[in-house]
Amino acid sequence: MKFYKYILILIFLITNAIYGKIKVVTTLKVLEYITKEVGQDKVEVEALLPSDLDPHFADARPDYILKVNQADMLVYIGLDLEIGWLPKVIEQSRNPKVYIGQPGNCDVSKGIYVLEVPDKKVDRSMGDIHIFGNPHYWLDPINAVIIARNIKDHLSEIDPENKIYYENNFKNFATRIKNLTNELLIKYKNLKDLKVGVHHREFIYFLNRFGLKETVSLEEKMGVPPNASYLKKVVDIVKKEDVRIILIAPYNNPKYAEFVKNQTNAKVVMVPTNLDKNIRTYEDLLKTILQKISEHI
Amino acid sequence: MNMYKIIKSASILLFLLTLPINFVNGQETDINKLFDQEIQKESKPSLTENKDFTGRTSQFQFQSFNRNVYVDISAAVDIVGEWDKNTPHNTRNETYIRMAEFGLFGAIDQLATGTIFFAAHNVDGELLTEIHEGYFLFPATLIPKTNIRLGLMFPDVGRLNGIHQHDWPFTTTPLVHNELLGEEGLLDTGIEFRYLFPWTFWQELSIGIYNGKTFGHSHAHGGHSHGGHSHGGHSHGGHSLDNPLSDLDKLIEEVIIHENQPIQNISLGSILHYLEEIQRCNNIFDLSQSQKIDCLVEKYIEEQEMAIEEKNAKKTKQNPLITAHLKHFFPLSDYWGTEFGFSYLRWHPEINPKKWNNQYGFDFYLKYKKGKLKSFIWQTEVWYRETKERPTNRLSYFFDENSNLKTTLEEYNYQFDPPKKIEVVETKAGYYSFLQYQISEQWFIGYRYDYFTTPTFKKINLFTLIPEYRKNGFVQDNVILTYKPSEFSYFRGQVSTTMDLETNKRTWQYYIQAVFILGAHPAHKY
Repeated sequence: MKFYKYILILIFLITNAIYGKIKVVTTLKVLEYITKEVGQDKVEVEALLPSDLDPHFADARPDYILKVNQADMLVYIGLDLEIGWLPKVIEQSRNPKVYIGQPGNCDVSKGIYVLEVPDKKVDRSMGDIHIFGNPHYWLDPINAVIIARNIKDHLSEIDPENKIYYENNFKNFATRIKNLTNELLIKYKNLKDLKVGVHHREFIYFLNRFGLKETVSLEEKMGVPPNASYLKKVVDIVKKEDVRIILIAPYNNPKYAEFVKNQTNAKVVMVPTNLDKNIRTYEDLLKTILQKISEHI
Repeated sequence: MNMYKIIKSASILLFLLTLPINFVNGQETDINKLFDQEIQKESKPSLTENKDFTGRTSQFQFQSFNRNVYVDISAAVDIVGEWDKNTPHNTRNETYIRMAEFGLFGAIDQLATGTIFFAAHNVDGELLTEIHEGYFLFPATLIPKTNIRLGLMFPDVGRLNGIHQHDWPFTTTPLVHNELLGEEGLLDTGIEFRYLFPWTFWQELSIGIYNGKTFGHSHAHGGHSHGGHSHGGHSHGGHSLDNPLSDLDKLIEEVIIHENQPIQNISLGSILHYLEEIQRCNNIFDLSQSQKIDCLVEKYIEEQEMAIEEKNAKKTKQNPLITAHLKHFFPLSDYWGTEFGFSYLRWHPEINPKKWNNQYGFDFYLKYKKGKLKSFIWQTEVWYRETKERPTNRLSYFFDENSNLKTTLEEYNYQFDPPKKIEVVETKAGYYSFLQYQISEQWFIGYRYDYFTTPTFKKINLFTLIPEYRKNGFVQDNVILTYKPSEFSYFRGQVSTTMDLETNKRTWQYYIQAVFILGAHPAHKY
């Protein structure tokens, strides 16, 4: 009889350990990592998008819908980065917990220092612009702390009993990122004022934080492939300004950067913007980007 | 003095040496301050806080008296040009606005969102405006795991039906879709439940109940439905009951225009049908051209009378349209995925409650997509319809409301040989298969194969006067090239070649299409 009692208790404990966790779904892998850092063993986290997929151009895949359907919390970048597919996923998820306004809907752009917020009339003749500002903010470590804070706030609201736990985890993460940023600023101080070109303006936050100068973008208009005459202008700028590096993300079309490289002395450096199987932490992500740039100057 | 100079020089040297360190330390202090500030900070409102509850971010919202009315707007214009050199023509041979659509959508209240689309369609040169869709969506706010739509909508059956025509990856409607669902798709008013099963894989069941007084949704008139591919008045399936004469106007027109040609050389399936219908004019091929036209005009008038009857019937037809769609999705990798589903529809095509249609469909979709640079899709739909009929009281059926005897050929046959049990009186079947490959960031090439037939199609042998099965239907090959400069517009060219299996005549059609989208960001539907 006692044996059965122990079995039952064991089943209860295992079930509780598995199902007692808050199920969190994030859009990006970087958000998955930060959520894990804040929630630790109280959360079970899964990212929807693979590492090398442009978050602008994902589809509302039914498996994403299913994951969001079963989640207690959805964490996303916001600022319209996921505008093409996430609203459809939320609508089709049939999960009121993650609808906007609910604690389970965590838009981590809250409180972010948003760059490139349009200060004049804009329209789509200017490309696929973001009216709330540039949404690629997670590569600035200070914004990573703000992201973690937003996640902490939402987790605390969903699971108030563990509020202090999340608070402590958040502080630990933030302190770690703070220290790392200080280290990286010193270690890579030689990169300060380095002129770089970019394909899409997704590195602006990162470059600003570490003191590099974005001199030219290969896209004349946001999200629109450049034409030959604009690329010629880019070549002229790269030569004139002595731009040494052109940064591209894994999902950018490399042929434009290659074209500029072949006409100039600039090097094309493909850098990650997200975590993957080799870059498992946010800290590694920052280190990898800086290291790759540093190796090519 | 020298000592003073040495100390001064040493101090300056020391200052210069430590300058970079001070700079870094200064930056460090600023960074630390920023970090500490964020760590301590309480949450503050952001720019993105106010959104409607379904998750849509409104790009352009009306601001009035400091109130945000939370409405997204969108508009789409679909311009099509189509040409052919066939006799008679089976395209419009002109460029026109096929459809202009204007939509509003947003949260209604805590329970539902609302969607309304107005559309103007080109019908014989005139843009006729109608409400295209208008429905409530209750996103699992009434029944757990169930989205409910209530109103006028494209029911969830098959793959293409739920997608607005301007979002299709080809210009023309697949033959089977045109015949068995309608040129633009099936559109009706009713209620639809979409339940997401709580499995570890994605499976969704949609069940809908609609008015069923009309079936399909077509604005084609006078033979615009791509090459006269319908068999005239064989059945009303696939066409709105508003236009039961779809091809006849054009047919008469063509006969008159080509008066000097022998009528049997106008080799459309539909004209053969009408020739068959007027076989009571013995030895039709011996008739003069004007007599043939007279016969056709006579038949035309007869059909018009039938159409009026049909319209009246529509007013009193009570039986609903029932739909069901069971869909599955399996991810094959981060970029590959496959979705397939089974559809079922049941409705009564006529006022006769003893006659009904069962329609079965299978849809398959395989997709590879890696961002905006690489993609491949394979999309297929197979549809089969059977019209069944059970025995009925003949007298009540043969007399109309005014006690007049109905006189159609079909009904006479019916009278002489009434069904003894439930039997299939007509079947229609077909499929299309479409492949699309993204050749570069903005260019896509596609190929679609279409097939449609009526297995029960019989023609009266003019020698034996016995109805016999005859090979019939159409096969179509389409090559499509699309240029997409952005997510908000595209330009497309399509070349189609159609083989009429009954006459073995091949025709060619050429299309261009330009579509633009304004307003809300279009959804990346899977």
